[in-house]
Amino acid sequence: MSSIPSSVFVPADWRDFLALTKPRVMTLVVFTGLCGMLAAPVGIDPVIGFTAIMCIALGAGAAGALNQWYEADLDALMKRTAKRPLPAGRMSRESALHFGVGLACFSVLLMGLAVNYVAAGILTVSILFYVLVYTVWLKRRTPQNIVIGGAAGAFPPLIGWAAATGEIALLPFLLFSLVFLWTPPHFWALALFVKTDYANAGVPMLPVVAGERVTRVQIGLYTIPMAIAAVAPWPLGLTGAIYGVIATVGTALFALYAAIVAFRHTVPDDTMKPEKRLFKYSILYLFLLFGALVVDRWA
Amino acid sequence: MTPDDSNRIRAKQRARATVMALLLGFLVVLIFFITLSKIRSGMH
Repeated sequence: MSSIPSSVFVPADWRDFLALTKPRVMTLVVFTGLCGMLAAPVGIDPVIGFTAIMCIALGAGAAGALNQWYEADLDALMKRTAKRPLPAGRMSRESALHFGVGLACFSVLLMGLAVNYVAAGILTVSILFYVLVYTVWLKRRTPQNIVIGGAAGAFPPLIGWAAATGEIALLPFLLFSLVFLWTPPHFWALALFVKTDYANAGVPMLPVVAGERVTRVQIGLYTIPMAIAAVAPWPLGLTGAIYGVIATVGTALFALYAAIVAFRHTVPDDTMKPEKRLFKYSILYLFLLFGALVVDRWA
Repeated sequence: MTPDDSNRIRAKQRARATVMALLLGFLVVLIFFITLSKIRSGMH
């Protein structure tokens, strides 16, 4: 054990600041933002494009840091998050707050000055949405927290597109809708097999508040509009057959896995395999669709 | 506080300062290239 007296200021490690930005979540954010940018009908200067993606990543990191600053008490109660820098006592809350606010301001300013103000505006909205609407307002109050809060994670393709074109069109709006509608089945599948963790922390996730049956039905119901948003760009003539075929097949498999989860009943000592499979596949599904979109645009 | 503790704090400070210096250096280079891109796009 350390002999450092509590009155002595121990600086946090730089790796803890990195952990504060939730790098794993950032991967998906960067990927969908990059695909939104590459799917745009106009090219973007590589340096400006790189800067835009970096700003999206920094903005997401800032939102993650502010989320961890606000939820330090909650994170301490859950096994999955108890080792994060704040609940583990490796960093002061003040440092996390300053880091988060500083990073948010920097990412928005750089996006505005180097890329364009439309992209900077949407980046600002996405950070504020994640921190204020999801983290502060909804997460501890309603089981619909991730439905509305999911919008925060849906902004990156919109920002990527806006970075390239300076405006918003139907296709990035559909991509926004896809990620927005994908979030509930994705997170509720996770919440079904980590229910105890959320219950211990008092987070009103749907399985905790409304029960497993309702959650399963909701997973099935949200998959329907998600499937429409995923396939729609093809019949609307916004993408070609490459995206259309991959989206149709990928979505059919998603719908199958979601239907299995929706119609299933938990048995004693259940290993929750179908729920884990849906959760894992949902991540692959999003990568697949956005990847197909870029291939379709450049093929 | 033992000398070992003091050394550990110093090592953390040094690592943070190094990372910060690298990030600032990267930022300088990035802004240089952003400026070049802006000048180039203004010429077209």
